[in-house]
Amino acid sequence: MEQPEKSSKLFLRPILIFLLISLALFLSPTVPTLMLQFLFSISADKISIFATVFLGIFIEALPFLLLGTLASGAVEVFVNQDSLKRFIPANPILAAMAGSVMGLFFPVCECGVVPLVRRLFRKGLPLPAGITFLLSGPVLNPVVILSTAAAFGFGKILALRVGMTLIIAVITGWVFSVVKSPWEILKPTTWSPCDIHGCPGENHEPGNDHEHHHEHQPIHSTQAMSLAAKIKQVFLLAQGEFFEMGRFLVIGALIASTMQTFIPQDRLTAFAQGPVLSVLGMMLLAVILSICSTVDSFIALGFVNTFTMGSILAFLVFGPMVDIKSALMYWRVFKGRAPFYLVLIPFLLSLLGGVVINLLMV
Amino acid sequence: MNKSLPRLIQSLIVAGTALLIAAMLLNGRIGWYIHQRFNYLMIFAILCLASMAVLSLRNFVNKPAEDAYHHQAINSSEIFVLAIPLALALLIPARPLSANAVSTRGTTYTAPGSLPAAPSEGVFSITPDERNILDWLRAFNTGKDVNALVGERANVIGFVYRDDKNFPGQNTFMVGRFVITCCAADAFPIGIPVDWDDAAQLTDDTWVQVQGVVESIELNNVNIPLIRADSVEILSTPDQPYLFP
Repeated sequence: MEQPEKSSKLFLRPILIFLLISLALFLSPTVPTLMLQFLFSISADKISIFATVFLGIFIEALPFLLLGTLASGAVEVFVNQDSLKRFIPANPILAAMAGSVMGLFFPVCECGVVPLVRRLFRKGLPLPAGITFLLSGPVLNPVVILSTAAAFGFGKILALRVGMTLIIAVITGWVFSVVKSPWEILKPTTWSPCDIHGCPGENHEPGNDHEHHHEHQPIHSTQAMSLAAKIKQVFLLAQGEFFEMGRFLVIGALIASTMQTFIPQDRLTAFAQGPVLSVLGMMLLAVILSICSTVDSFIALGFVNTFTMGSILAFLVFGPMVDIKSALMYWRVFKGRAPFYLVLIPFLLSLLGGVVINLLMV
Repeated sequence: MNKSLPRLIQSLIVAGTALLIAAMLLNGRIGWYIHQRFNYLMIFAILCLASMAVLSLRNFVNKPAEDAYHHQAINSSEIFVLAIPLALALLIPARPLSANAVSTRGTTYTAPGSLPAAPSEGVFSITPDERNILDWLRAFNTGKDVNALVGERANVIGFVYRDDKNFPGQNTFMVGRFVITCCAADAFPIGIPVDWDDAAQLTDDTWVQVQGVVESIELNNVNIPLIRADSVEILSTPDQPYLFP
């Protein structure tokens, strides 16, 4: 009985998908027009515009990406993570606030913050502090503040980006304080650093065996190194991270420059002006582009002339907290409803913040 | 794939990127992509990439068998994503944004108010001969009586493009520049219409130096400048094709 049912389902599914797609195409006459325009508009001129815009974004972002990877490599080699927990208070709100400034000492963007937070949880970091750091670290760190200032200047956008990120991250961290221990929401074994290191026989259960765990971390082998060897290690780690995170920059810049080359800006402005729609649009764009927070200001700059201010801020605040790559990491690191809330709470608060800015600052 | 080969490729991509940026800085092409105030950051990037390349190459020569990046999640095929910028820079002929990009980016005839605060009054202290296209648009945008500007002699450099919607006349072309605040991604075009008897002979994208008398015309209820040219000279693409607000 099951076999025919299955095959009929298999047969039906492509037809259903085809019908849905053609219905969507019929309902939105702009989609086929845009596709045709895209196909016919590829010329030598367009390709040279595309290359110029792409290289502009890439070259501009390059030093900031390198700064971030060097800083992150230095943290790995020089900072002893055990010393950290002494500075985190027990009160959940204070812990969340402490977590929000941790980014100043651990300058990582969203690509690096998830594994780092997981490592810090192992060392006894309180949950609210970790969650707040997870969400705010990619923005509230010297490299990102510097690159935001480089793109927008020391002004309203920078202040609002920092302020909104702080508020949203602390609220989310405080909400998570209802969970008593990080181990209630952390998946025990999947996506541990040891899956990559391949260290054998490691016990992932909390509490027992912490000291033993350290010895397998490659970081700890660096403590015996000379300063020159440590610096060399920083550069090698930075190069590895440059390749790991740089590909998100390249792909994001490719998408952004393709859009800029082939979609006339007046078509974008149709989405760009509503106080709510524009915010939703830029948040969606932040998720799709998945750009590293060290460089997203430069991408956002390309939309400043068309999109509302609230939507630019929602892009700059929500993008570093949730995008395709970080959401995937959340679902691999956290269990139960935790990753869902990690996406939902920042989403609602960023939307609210963006709309409020649009309504108050017109 | 051989385990050590990705390491070698990584080192080569990093070295190649350092060389590319260094070459762009030396021949001035970097100005086609980014704002000149970032040149110091580019020197930092070159030093950083060069150190990475030297250290990782030495590491590769000394310990070819060791998997130095075992603590990084790198898929060997994903290494090549970082070769895309190199490939695009080497394969596609470099050109700054000009006439061909105007149509996808829309033209502004009046200096946009969203620009970072610029001393609009300051443009009057620049002698007319030295004002660029942005200065002229700003001067017309201060809200002051533009009649003071009419009759002054303009001497501006820009590329040729057409605006058939607003200026379809045979004897009119646009002289334009892109304005960038950061890099080519945020560029927007500005332009001034030029009346010249031989306008039809100029092809789009030609860089020209336009000299002539400034007039004031009205477009969409806004006063904008128009140059009645008495001399149009053809130039080669400048090292610094963009203007900065």
